[in-house]
Amino acid sequence: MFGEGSRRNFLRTLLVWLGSVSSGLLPRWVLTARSASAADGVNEELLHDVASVVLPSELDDGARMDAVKSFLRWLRGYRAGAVLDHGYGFTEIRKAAENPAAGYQNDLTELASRAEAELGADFTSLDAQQKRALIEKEVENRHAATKELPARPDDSHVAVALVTHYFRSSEANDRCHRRQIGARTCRDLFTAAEEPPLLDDGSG
Amino acid sequence: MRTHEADLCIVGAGITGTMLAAKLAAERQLSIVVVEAGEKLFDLDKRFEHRQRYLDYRENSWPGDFIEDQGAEGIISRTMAVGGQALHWAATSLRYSREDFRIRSLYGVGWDWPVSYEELEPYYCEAERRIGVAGSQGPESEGWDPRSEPYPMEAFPLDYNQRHLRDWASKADIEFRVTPTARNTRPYDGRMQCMRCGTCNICPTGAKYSPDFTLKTLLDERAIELVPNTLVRRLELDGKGRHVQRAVAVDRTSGEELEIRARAFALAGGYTWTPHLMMLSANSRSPNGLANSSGLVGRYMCGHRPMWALIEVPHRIYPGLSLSSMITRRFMKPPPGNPYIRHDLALFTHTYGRQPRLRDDGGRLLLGDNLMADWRQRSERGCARVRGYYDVLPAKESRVVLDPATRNRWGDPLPGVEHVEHETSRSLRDQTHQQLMGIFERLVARGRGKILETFVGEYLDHPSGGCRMGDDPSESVCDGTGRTHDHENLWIIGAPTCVSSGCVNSTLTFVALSLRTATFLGKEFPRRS
Repeated sequence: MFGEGSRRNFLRTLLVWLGSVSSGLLPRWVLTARSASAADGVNEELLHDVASVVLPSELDDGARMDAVKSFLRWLRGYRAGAVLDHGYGFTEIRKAAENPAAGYQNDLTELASRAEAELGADFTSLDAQQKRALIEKEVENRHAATKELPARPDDSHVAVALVTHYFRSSEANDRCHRRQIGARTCRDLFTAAEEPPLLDDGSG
Repeated sequence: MRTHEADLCIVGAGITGTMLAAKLAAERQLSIVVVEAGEKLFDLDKRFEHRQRYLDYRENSWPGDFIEDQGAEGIISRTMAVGGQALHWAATSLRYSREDFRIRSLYGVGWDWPVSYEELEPYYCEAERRIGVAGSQGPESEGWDPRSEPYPMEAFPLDYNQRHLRDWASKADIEFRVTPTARNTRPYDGRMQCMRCGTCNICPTGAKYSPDFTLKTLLDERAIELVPNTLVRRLELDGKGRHVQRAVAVDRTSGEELEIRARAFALAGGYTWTPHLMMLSANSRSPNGLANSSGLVGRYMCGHRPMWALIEVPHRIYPGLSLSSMITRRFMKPPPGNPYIRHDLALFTHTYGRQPRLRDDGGRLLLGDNLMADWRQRSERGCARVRGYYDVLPAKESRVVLDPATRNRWGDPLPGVEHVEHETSRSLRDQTHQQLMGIFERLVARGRGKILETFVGEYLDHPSGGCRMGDDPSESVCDGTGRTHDHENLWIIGAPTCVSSGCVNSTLTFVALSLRTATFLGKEFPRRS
């Protein structure tokens, strides 16, 4: 019924569609399939492993999946060479650097090979403490002098990039303050006079 | 050669050129051509998309709003497009104070303007109506000069953060009010109410005023002809040298040369590009440029300097709530005869020291839960930025120059801006900083805060001047109406005509001056019935 090309297109369409559905609603086989899609040349499964130790543990599986998905969406939307903001007081015309995806994949590959070399195991099969130790070692090597997170993901280590993407988000801002602030959303003008309502996640 | 003909040629489609066109088109019978070097960016329907790209990637929120080879050393913005810098602006809309126009008489420094606050006041009202300013008038005892009309819209409400900061500052007996802004607190002039999207540089809803709205209306009504992507390279005089006869320009897209012939010419290119064009237009009769018998074209460039403190306050501040800043004008009015030490004071929320970070103060790497815990702990107390602007009086050597070493692709030398502070102003600098520092310390002492950092800007904000107005043709380029002393049909619009910079954001003053010029320029044309 379907030729090889059509079937591939159908599956790709299905995965894209499934990719837009909140992870908490999806069965396990779909998550596995989605991991295997390896979008943007970045190994999604390894990225989820990194996320499991560099994002806050208070994120449930669905929220953590969403964070990774958002990061990958950000990568897909990246436009190398795009003119960056100049505006008032910033007269230098700068352009967006090369897409960092290849660098991120290198970082993931490096983590996998270190796991193999140092612990004789797949990175994925390590426990959280072992994963964290390997990631921290890599980040320490690469970012010994870095104190602040960049404003957005750049050519940092993939773990730092993922952390940056999440912690600079409106969702993380809400979670930090445990309030529904919605810094990046357009909102009613006059509700700003009130203290933002508590976050509806039981943590507030 | 292509020729455009009109009664009035306006060079520059920024906020002052736009206001001039709007007022004249409404009140007088004349044809108007507006020539703009940059592109026409009428893309309200794309603003949400541009905003998202800006938020996610910091991409330019106004794609195409600058000209690659039309920059200059020392300028404050590269924006060159239909709508000008007021595409990006935060829409702060404050009036200069009554004192700003008489500083020589009151304090013995600088120069008086040939226009008083009282003369400009009706034009401030008109400017506020046309662009739609939301504000509330403070008491005269707090430095709010009288106004003849209420603000067109009620002020922004104080948000939760601002209520705390206002109360915090009042412990030091400083009363802040919400800063007036050209953003809608209700539907106004066909544009919607602000939805506090938090990205005023690219307002996706159109609640913030920007000149493209007015220009679009003028074009829809066929009230003006707009010629974008067209760089005016020089103005040429008639045989007697008293009148500008034509503007010679180049279509940046096709490279075709064209001319614009008009009865009157109004230069609305702002503080850099207006004097630049006048200097580029030098000829055998005016070897130093047009309207430059005084030698002051491009001179006395002015601006105000910012000094601020980042202060930790004993309140939680929620980043991403804020609608606007707050301001006090009480320090703008020292009694006559006192030293010229005056400034505004604005209060903002800030995230300094309250952002997520990769390492703690001990250098420990933070990831996951540790990072979140560190961020939460540092967010328990908020941060405020308290900023003062003070007027920097310019020396004559504060100027725009033609830089023969840097040329655009048409071979014209580009401008460079060199700000030089007048010695009087230099001598007052330390005292001004001490006064501001004293205020910061009082806020901290009374409000249980802590100064985290102070900063003095080495740049001048809201620059202006370069074709200053005056009654004496040997000491000024144009008169108080904006008409140049040397050429009867050449008018300077807005920022370049300023004599000094006051100590608040200047755009509303530029607009008011532009509208006042429109009144006088308009007398050259029959009234619309």
